[in-house]
Amino acid sequence: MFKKIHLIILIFAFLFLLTNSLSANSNVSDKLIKKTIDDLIDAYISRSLEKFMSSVDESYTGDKALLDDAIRKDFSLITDISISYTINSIIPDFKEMVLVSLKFTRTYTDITTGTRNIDEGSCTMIFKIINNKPFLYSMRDKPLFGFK
Amino acid sequence: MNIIKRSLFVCLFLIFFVLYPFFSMGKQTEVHFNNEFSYTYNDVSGPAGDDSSSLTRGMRYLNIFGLNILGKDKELEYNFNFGFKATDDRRNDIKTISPTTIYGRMTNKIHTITAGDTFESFSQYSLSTAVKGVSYKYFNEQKRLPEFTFVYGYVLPRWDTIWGGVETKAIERNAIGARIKHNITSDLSAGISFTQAKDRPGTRITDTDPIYTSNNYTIDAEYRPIPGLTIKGEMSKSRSSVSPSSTAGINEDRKHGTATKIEAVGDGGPSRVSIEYEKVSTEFDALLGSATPDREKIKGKWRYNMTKRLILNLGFLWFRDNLDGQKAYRTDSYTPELGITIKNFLSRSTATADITYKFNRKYGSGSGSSTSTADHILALNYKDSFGPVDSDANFGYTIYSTEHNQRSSKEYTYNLLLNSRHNIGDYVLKPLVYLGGMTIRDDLILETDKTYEYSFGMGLEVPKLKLTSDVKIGQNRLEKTQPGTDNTERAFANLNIYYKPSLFNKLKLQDGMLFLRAFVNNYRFSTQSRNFRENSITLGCNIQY
Repeated sequence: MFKKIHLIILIFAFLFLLTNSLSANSNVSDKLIKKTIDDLIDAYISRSLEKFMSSVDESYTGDKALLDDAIRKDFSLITDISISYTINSIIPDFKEMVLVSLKFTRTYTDITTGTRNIDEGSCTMIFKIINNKPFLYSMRDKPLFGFK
Repeated sequence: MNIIKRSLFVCLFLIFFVLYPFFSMGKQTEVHFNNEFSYTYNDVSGPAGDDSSSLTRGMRYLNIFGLNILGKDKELEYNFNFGFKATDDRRNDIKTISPTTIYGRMTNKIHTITAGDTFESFSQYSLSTAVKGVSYKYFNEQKRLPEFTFVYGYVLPRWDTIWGGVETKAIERNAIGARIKHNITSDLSAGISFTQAKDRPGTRITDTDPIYTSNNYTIDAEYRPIPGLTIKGEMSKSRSSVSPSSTAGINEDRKHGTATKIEAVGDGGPSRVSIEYEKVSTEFDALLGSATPDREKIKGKWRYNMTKRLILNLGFLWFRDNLDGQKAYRTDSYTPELGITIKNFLSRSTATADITYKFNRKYGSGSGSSTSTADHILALNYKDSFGPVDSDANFGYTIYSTEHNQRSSKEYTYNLLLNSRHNIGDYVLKPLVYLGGMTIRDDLILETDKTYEYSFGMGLEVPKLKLTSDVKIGQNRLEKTQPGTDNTERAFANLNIYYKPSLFNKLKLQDGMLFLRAFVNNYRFSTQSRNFRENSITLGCNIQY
């Protein structure tokens, strides 16, 4: 394992030297996407449906009203939700959409049985950018929200 | 994937991603990178820890790296992105090291080539997914010629699917797409698209994985006849064949489907009105796009600013299934909705009240065992400020009713968030209190479930030191009255500290940050053998350049 860590540090050091003489700027749009995902998760965990739906696009595929129903159903059936995720990729279409692929682990208490459950998977989300703000436009593969 | 395709990918990326950016460096090139490295120590104890905890025990690392090179060479702009993830925690990834993002894009504003992770969104039904491949776009705004886009690649979940490994294996889906779009006038545009998705039969993971071949032919248009009014629509036809399994003797299924959508949005003065109609036939496939088959839908929304203080929201949604009459019964769903937002509520300048009522009615009709439901959903929200304290209170009341004694229950939800911000010298304190709960009364089995959460938090910012932190403690409880079921309880504490040392600024790493995240979760159940406890601490460093 330490060999792998050394390798990572070496790669990092090489890139640092490579880039040290060049101008700098941070990647704001990726940050904004990550913040939007964090805000969606925070709203979902704290069961704030109004806040959650405010980050969903009006033209959400599958229909925004049906996603609203699906989230409401989650809130009726599960409680004490915890979500951790790592982003695999953020790919823009250089127009108005950004595709995000992430791997997540979700734990929750099933209200009907009282058991603690673990669930993991990959979800692909598409965000539509309107006035520099990302709105959730679609969810594919294993949905992160509205899964019950 | 065969050796030719692998070689093609390797050559393509060498030329596009490595050689061009390398030789272009020093002209007008910017290089940025972002690296986050963290070490986590997880401790899980208790009889149910192994089965119930999502944490991987012991010391685990996670490194996420992203490199972005962008620049300009005369008329040519280019952008290259590369990212990888390294971890020894299988909760983070099934592979120790895996590339995450690899793409490059070059454009002279007329010709655009993208290779690697390529995301071209044509329209909802035709193409709205990323492929690992290439795309070419021609768009000459000055000559007012049609925009042409071509995309070719593979729909693969990960890059390491290409070079194999059982863990990352996936069905190989080849994708081809072409689109011509033309702005006929400044108010009218139209597009025509062709997409093809083709799975390779030899790449099935299991014998029963369906293998698809699907062609979609799509037209779409957008028209703005007067300022504030937009009419847009899309129609797509799919021709698909599905091989349900590799077992000999099972016939291939051929499907022909159509999807149509038309939407009008009027936005002017105090009103915003939208009307939408959609019909997606049962056999319609959108393997590269997005659609819900077997649905006909009408949706309308009206938002009206009655006065500066009063906003009215009206909505209506109807949809049904069984479009081809093959099911034993069809279900029609009606959802009218009414919402009122009142600003300066009770003459308080800081108060906003929001009331929403929604009625979910589903009718099942036909010869089968259909069910009908009638759910009433009421939600109240009140936001206000009392001196330095901001408050956000919610109350919800829902009645669920499904015939044939399938469901009859009432649900009450309530939560209150109080938070404030205090500047004391060089420090900023941000206390918060959260109280929330839900009561579900099941009128069929005459049992009640109750959930509670209460938590207290304190945020501390020291702007001079570029330090932010927060701590939160609380408890979640589930109380059940039904015999034989478990009550559960989680006591928790979280601590987060983020520090941006000035050393990073000196190294030109403006957003460089050190962080510490720690949490404790203590789960207790009525059945004590289910109890467990999680302790986790993460130390990390994020560097952006």
